[in-house]
Amino acid sequence: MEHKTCRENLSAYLDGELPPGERLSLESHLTGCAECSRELAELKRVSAIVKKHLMEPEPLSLRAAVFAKKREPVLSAWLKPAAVLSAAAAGLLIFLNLPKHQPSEGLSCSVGFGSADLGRPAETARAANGQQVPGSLKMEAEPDRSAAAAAPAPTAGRGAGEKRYAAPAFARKGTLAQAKFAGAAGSVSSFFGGAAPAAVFSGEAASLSASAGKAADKAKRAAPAEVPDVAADGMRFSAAHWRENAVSPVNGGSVRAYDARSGKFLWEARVYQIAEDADEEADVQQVHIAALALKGKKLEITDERGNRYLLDISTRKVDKLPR
Amino acid sequence: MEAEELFDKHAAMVYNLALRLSGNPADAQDIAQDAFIKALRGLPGLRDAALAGTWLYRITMNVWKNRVRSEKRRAFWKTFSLDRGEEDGDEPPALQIASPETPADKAMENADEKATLEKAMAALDPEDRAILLLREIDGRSYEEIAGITEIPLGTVKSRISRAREALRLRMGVLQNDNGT
Repeated sequence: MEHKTCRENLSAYLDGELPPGERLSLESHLTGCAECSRELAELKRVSAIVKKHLMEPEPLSLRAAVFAKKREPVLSAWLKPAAVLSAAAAGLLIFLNLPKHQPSEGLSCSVGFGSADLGRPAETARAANGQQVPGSLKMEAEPDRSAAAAAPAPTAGRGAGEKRYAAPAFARKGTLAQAKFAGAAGSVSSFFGGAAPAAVFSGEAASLSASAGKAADKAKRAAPAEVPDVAADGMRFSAAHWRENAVSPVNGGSVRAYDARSGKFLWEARVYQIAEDADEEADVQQVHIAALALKGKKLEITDERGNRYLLDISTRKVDKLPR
Repeated sequence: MEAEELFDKHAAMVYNLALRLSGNPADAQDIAQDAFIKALRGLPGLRDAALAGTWLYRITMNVWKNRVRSEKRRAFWKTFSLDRGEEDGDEPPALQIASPETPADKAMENADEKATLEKAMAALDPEDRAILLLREIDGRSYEEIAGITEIPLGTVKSRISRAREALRLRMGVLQNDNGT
């Protein structure tokens, strides 16, 4: 093997990564080449120093950070659009079902698709609504009108989905303008296949909202019940429902001790471990403490599943009690 | 393989890989954290537990690459200036404190040796540092390193050789400068 090739291959030779033929050839060269032998020795020394010093200890906070983040609920990709749609539908439903008031004066807002009478041509409906441009929203400022003039908007003119809302009192007072928003009958009814838009859309929205609600019910749990603190030996013991530090990287299952006088945090003891399945929502798997009771120098802890534990408040040793 | 087991087995290596890639502990922790979170989400799909390390290190490399890309986009590639710390007169990363049992002169020698190594390492390309770590500390074969780093096998071989040669020369020079 040539001197140059040997030098290039020294590192791979050191790692045992040379094919047998090249290795033998390199070893043969090494026996007669002091420079390559010296360089190989230096590379070995460098390798030893790297092995000795390269590793740094990982920070202790890494574990808590990883497992805390991992438990944050994440919406599945398919659920995200459904959540957005249901939020939009819910918002619309709330808006459409606001209490109906007859405006007496000032600002009012009219919303609707303007085609209650499906038998009528869209132009008739638009004319009755006072709409001008299909597919557009109209805002118009009107002069102050009396209650009698403003209230009796023609029923046929407003669509089934159209509702007229009075503005809040602070907005109505002394306001001279009326804002009126109205969707064009033609474009909206064609979007909904010509059916009564408000009814169909409300139905869809309710259905979407209901299905999202079911998913949310499945994914969530009720908040844990408040557990009264217990005091002993100048300390106050509290069920820790929510993770705050490395002792409680998950929600539930630990007890915190505070100085009874100053309220200063003293220590935290994990009473039981909660094995979580990464595929399931974290919060539905949480088991919180349901009750604390003092038994001599020990604290009896009952979890939501009825399991009981004894925590020695001096040694912080935990024993599980038979059910 | 359980999440805790995966973490316990590979946390040190993932953090050190991230540290050598990013060049600073703060970014290293963020990268390691992101890598583990991604890995734990994908853990149920991991068929061969024996490949967990390779898979996890590849995720770590990808997290780092994505960070570099996004930082580049924002023109804030912090590692660039840190990688050139020696040229800029920056101090090398904090030294590991020697254990109390180590005799003082030995501890000093270790500290000097480590400081010299860190200065020499700082001059290397981040990926070369990572490759060297995978080889020297984790004992990965060139083929495995090629898989983890998505670099051709021949390039892995030449980069390890180049990195060791650079360290050899640089550590020799630095030690001479220090009079050691």
